[in-house]
Amino acid sequence: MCHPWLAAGVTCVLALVLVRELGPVVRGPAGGARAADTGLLGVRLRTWFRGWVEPVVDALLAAGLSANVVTALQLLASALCGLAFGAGWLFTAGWLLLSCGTLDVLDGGMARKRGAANPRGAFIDSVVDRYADGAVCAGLAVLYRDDWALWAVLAAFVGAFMVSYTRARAEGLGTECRVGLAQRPERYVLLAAGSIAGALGSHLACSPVPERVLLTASVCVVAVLANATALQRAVFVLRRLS
Amino acid sequence: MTTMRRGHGPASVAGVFAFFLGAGLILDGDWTWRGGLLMAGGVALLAAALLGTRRA
Repeated sequence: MCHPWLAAGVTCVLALVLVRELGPVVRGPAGGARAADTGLLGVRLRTWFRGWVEPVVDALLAAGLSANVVTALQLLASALCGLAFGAGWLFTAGWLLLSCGTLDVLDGGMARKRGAANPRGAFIDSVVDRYADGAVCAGLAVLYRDDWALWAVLAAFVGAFMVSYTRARAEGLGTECRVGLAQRPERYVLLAAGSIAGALGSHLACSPVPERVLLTASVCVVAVLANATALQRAVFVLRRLS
Repeated sequence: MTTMRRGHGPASVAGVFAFFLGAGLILDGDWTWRGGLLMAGGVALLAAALLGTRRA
């Protein structure tokens, strides 16, 4: 059943929130860092988002929660996101995907603020992040099980894992590697944007075409960018090691 | 002493989250009552945050 009026209202609220929050960030002075180094989202957006969740970090710490609890919540949210993608609940899946990204920022912020950032916590966070990526891709694979876009999902899955593997391997060899066009936040924002915009478009047009087209396009873009980022990191590390 | 920008804080983040999650439940699953309740709760939290929650 389509809900064009609700979709129109939600689109207006979303536009209002984005203009109110992101307007000053976009109009602000441009940073000197290159997108290839800092990611497509850039330093300004990342800084704004960290500032936006900062009060939540304080509130969660005041409530006595630990960073590991928030990491576990992230895993739960990603599992729900995978289920939502598998069931074709694209708006909910997109929203849960953004929540996963937010929880990932929150747990790191909590650990740093409490002075509890340590190798053990970083290891748990990395492992949970990979399972979270796997859960989201599994949901997309179920959604596209009878479609050519399944190949794009698989490519995105491989690219996402290679992005983190190249960095982990580089760090194992004693080289820091933080460059990359499409790191995890970029991939999540792209997928969530395609999913949410597609679901709203389908309800506004009362047609399944927009959600199929927009989500498939965003999965293809993520597949290309994730693998390009993995290659970019491989070249960066090879230059450092030679 | 820090002053939060109006509308920024745990209540507004929870409000935005609840509002859009509720909308998703209605749009995707036709869960009208549950989604509607979540949306209403989200709006209430956002209103509380926007109508002057300032922490010193």
